[in-house]
Amino acid sequence: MARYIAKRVMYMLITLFIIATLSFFLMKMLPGSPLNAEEKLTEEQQAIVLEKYGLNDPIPIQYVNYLAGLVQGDLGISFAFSNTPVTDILMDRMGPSAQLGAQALVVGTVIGVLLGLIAAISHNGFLDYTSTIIAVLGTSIPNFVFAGLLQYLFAAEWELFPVALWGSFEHSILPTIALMIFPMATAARFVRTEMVEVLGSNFITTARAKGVSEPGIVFKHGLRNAMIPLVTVIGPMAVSLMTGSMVIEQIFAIPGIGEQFVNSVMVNDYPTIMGTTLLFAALFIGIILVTDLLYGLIDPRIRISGGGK
Amino acid sequence: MKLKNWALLLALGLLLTVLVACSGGDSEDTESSDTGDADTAEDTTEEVAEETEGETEGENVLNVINGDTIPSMDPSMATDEYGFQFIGATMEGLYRLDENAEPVEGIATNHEVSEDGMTWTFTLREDATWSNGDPVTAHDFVYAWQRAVSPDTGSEYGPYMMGGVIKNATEVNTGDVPVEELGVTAEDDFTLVVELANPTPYFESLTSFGTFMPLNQAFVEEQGDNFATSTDTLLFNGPFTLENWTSTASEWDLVKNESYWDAETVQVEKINHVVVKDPSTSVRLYEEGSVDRAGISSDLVDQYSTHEDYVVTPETSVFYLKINQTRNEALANANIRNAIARAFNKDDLVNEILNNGSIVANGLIPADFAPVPESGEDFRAASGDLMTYDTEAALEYWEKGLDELGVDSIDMELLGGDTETSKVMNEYLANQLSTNLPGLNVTLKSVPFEQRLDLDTSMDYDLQVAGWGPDYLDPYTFLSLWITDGGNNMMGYSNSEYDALLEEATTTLATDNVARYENFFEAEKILFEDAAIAPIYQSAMAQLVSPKIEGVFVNPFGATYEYKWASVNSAE
Amino acid sequence: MDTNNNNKIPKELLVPMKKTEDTSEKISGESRTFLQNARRTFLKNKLALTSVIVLVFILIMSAVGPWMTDYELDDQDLSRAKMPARVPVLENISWLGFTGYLSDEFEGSDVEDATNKAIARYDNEADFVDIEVISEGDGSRNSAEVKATYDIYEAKGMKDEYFWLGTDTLGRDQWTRLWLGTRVSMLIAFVAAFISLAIGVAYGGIAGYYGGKVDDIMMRILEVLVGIPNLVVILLMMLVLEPGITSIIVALTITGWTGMARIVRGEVMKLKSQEYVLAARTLGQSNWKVITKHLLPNISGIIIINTMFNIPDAIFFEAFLSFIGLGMAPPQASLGTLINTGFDNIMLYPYMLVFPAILISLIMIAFNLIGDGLRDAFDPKMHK
Repeated sequence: MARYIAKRVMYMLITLFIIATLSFFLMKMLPGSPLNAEEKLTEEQQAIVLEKYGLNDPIPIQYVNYLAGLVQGDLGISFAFSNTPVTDILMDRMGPSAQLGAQALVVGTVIGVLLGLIAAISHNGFLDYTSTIIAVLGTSIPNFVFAGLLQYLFAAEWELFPVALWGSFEHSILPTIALMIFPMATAARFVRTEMVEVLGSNFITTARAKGVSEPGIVFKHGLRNAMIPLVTVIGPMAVSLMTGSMVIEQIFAIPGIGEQFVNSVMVNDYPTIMGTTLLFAALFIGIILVTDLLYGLIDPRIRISGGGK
Repeated sequence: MKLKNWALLLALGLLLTVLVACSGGDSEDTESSDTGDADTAEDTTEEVAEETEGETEGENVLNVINGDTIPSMDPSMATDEYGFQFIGATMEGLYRLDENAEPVEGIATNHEVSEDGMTWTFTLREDATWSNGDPVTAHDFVYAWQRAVSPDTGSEYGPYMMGGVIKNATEVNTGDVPVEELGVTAEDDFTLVVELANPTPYFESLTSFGTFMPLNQAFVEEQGDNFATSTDTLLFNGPFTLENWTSTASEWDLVKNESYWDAETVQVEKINHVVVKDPSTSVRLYEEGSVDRAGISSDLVDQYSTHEDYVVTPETSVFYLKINQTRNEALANANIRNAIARAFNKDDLVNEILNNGSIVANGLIPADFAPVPESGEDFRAASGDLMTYDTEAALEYWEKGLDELGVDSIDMELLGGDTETSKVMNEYLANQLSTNLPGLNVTLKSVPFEQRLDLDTSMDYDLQVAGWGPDYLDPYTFLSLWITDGGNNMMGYSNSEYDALLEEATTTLATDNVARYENFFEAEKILFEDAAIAPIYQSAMAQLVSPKIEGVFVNPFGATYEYKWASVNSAE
Repeated sequence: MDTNNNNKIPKELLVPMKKTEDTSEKISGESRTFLQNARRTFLKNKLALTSVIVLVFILIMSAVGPWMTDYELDDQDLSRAKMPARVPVLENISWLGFTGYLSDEFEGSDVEDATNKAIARYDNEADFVDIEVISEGDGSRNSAEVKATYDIYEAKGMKDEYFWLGTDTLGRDQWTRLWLGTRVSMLIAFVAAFISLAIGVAYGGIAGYYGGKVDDIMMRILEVLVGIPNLVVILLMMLVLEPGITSIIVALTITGWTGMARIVRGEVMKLKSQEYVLAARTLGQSNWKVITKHLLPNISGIIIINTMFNIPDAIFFEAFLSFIGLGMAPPQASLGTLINTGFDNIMLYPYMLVFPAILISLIMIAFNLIGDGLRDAFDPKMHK
């Protein structure tokens, strides 16, 4: 197991290294420098500014410096915010994004599992169709379309929630709903399929025959087994949360990382773009790693084959 | 049985939460490293709640939107609208502009100008203090101005604003002369002597600009690199202090500065700012009552033009097509340029697309900006329409140009901004040009502002929708753009006659205002005979402004809004 | 008594049983191939079938839709900007929203004030504005409310014109742009999905078929690539490339093939150790033949299913990129750019958002349902 983890972590580092390299050289291909604005500098001054950002060195040296900084957790200094390290910007912006992501993931999964469960129990019944439709809509409708709809109806027309901005818990409700739709729908579809399969399997029939009560069958035997594979869809969910954070934070004017990323793109703030890219990548890879490990821990079959005597 | 069912469900919910928490928990320690942030988030939540309460009580508090974060609060380093806005609100220079854009006393109570117009002696007030209690002295100005042009600082606006105005500013900046030689000295604590490079009639208004603000040397040096990165690393001497600000903050407040020398004039206690970029979101916030002022982008004007609080404020920024003569050889042809400059319908563009009070521009100097000396007539009116929409003339020029070039079709790229309105405008311009000029193919490139500036600097465009807002109250701020090899020319325009006229205006004619203006008229005419640029429109700002805001006015340059004389009308 | 009766069975009734074949094990239905079964299951799936019809309709419309009007992609005319949707016949059914009227509620201190505002809002064409009083008001600020309906087609003297889905801010016909935009979005999605398919199948196939060292190296590379979140790469690519169809396709395919490669490799690994493949190889068939004749047909199901889910993903990413401003360059339209423009006009001209939003949702739903249907169809457990 330890060897497996070590191997995975190594891959993770290689992947991160590749992303860092890729983004570094892509950014070098683009026009633009910290000397934005109306370009009122003389040559000498430009040299001073470039020096400050270490842009006077040849690109290979810049690259080495960049990697060296990375190892020490230094992502460079933002072009757009003078004198502000990228790490500070990311730290500043982390709060709202993390809160939103966590709320959407937890609430979305819980509701999704319940929906899936209800659908599976009333297999082919009215409730099944209803929740299947919800799930299909949830995975199909682009989240920004959905967010716009929510904002238009609940905030602008009916004035039930604040239109935008960040602050109180109420501010987070609409964006959370917009963001949780995909995790919810994915979980619902997944749990339904798994549950239908599990409920039709032999050990359930055996349990029924032994007189286990219906709730006991559904929860104790059915759901436990249906829940395990759910871990595998956490990857796509993480992706949807990232894309979601970009558009939804934009729509609801939330000062989070996604919004920051889109802005950095707009103002050619390359150090911040690279920093955010790496953060997203690290998060994504970390989540995948953890889910893979978790999967091994939860699924008894994998545990047996992995560490059996 | 039922109960058990629910218990199971509950247990399931808990299990799931734990499961999810586990799987999410290790996601690169975001959660753990975040606990600190989460706490602060809660704090701000409470704060917001309190503020909202305060708001409903309506005691001299305003809530406004800022279009973006403040990139820099360092007077020497600031280059953008928002930087200058908040520097203007929190700091006081020698003078401050009043409602009519006339300089009124700031730190300086009055000044004397030598006969040749080259030496200005300012008398400073003795009761002005910094927010840490230090007095504001002439030495603070000397330090700040030296810092602004010193090559070590790397300021962009310092050399731009002071070069050619203050003696030795350019030389100091290039490193030819030590910084002490800059033509600014403190005769004593409260007397500032400024020697100019050229007589500059508009110098008085210039001193209200952000780059000319004083700086407390001891404080700035103590803070080092951290200076002006957050509220704690700033000192104020203006009507307001900036609170709760860090360079990435999306919310901050202007709070009345009790130690300001003229604190009794300042009536507003607090102005809360929040960053909202999306125009439709800001309008909804206005309707919700969370903010007291919201800009209306062109696509929203239809809806709000009949709103009771709808206000249009004219601006002095002019937008035009820059025609780059260096990349596309067709554009080096004056006939082609003349054709392009006449080939789009500005009236329709202003009325249907912009729709926000912007007016058609048929010249470079904006209307209601600079009155002609003696006659007092507006520059624009006196100079007349120099470049108008005229498809027939355009076609004539076009065919002549094509003949000269010996081609029958030309491809070119139109570079423009990427806000919603500018995208619509770019599409319209491209369509107009290719419809009115047969054989012209226009490809569009809409990019964010910063990228456009980069492309401008590298002259990597054919046509560019660009704009310019004045940096001081003189036509020269516009006309100097097109001097041969000027820092903002960036389109390969060069006309020696034009250069000579402007050179004369800043040197030999500098003290003769009437003659200067004659030169300006002449220069503007040459610019359009050459069809160097194609003027499009002079902008205006459409907003919803709550009737409770009073006495806020918009400056023609520098800080956009002036809050010093503002008040909150509690009757509403 | 009874027992006696039972014993008295007449002898004629006792006929010896004819010896017949045991039919209990007989296969009574006609024998069907796997594909026949799959088709049957798919055709029974009403949702999937409806989706196919909807999708075919949308595809046909994206081909012929733009020709059904006289307008072009970039036919600008500001005098007819922002006209609401108007469809012959349907215009008489008020709740459908194809009436060609603009309508809104206006507030004022009294009815007259509100009415004046309404008229001012609607180009001062008082003759063509219908006012309906909602509340009289008491003279205080915004107490009165009227509902105004403006016949903009009549006012502009275009009573004979029909913009079926209205016009945009530059007076371009939305119907034309919507179908041209769908065409672009579909093109991007299909091309991206098929390039991903080709690369993925080739890569996964080679790795799985040859196994050993080749597989090892290829899989190590793949594992690293899979770790890179595609969103990040797509965004970085879009920053570097000029906006346009090709760039979006390149950005989408650069990471899009990895999922397919993984699946194909897994399947090939599984299949190649099966007896019939071994037999074919033992009989001396070339690698090429084995791959094309034996392996590909057997993994085609999973490839098709995967592609069916890749296409809506590509449509989503295109719309996402256009939405955050990194997508198609104007005046080109795509579903994403149309939605983006629609968003800016959502309050006043909601029709600009509604139609493209509905269309993109329909397309996404249809592809997902078809994908689901195919998955069921190719799953032997679901065959009935």
